[in-house]
Amino acid sequence: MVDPMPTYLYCLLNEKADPPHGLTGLAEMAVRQLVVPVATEGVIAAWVSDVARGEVERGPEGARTHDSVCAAALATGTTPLPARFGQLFDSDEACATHLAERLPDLLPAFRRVAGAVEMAVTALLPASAAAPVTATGVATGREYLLRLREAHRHEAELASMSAHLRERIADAVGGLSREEAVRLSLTPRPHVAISHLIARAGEGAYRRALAPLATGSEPGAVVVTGPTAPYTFATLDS
Amino acid sequence: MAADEARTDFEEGARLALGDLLNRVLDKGVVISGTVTISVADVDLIQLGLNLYLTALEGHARSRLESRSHGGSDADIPLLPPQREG
Repeated sequence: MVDPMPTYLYCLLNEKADPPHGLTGLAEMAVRQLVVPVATEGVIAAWVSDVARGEVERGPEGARTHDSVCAAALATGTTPLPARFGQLFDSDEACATHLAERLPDLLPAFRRVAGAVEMAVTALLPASAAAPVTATGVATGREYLLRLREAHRHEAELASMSAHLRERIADAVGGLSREEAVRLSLTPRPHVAISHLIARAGEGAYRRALAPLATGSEPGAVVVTGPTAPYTFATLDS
Repeated sequence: MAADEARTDFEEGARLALGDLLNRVLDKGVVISGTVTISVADVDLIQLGLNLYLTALEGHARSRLESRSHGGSDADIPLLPPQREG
């Protein structure tokens, strides 16, 4: 007897929704719907594909493919719960069993993102504040400690700039945002990324609200991306 | 000069924004079970490749900028950076 091919999970929807004809995922395998009946709440539809072990594209191209399937789910009009990249199950049955076990956590997660999309703002922090400070190649302990202190001062300055920018963006977005999440990155170039969970119909207003920040006195570029499936806000309580 | 600087900032911002999206795919989203077969070590490999990938995206960001300047759709097009004096 031949073992079934493993099942790769892309995202979940809380109603039946067939993937578009011809949609392929990892390893060019067809994406299909796996329907899991739920006693009191209808169904959970998982978008999955077969994929042979060892054929999951583990590079960035795999992540991009994963997101393209989640984007197709978002385009159906129902907001999916995107799965984290890389979840492989022994079979459809194993996937369905795990989904049924997680049902108590999945239902509130569906309610959280219902009718919403994720938008993100990425802003560069000033290059002048981004001068690399390292503690390598120093001659004395005193010099090392001075560089270390400078590095800490530099990080605190970036955190302060990030907080200021976050306040300005929050003011601009106002009530359009249901939730926000802030990510400050120091490498490869210091920048802050802020995700917002907004209503689907609010994308245009969101972009208009942020447009003035791109022409004001803020340093660096302000880039708006989205809508995407709500990765940042798709979490389970346990 | 200021326009060149603004364009460079814009391209870098667009590149970082795309990188941020890929990082969210790798790091966020629901986890259904402990059967995730791509281990932490593998994710390291993914992130190692990410820098190479982002370099390849530079051309993509540039083409989007040019598309916008030629009246392309505003959908999913990053906003322009501020113009700087001097």
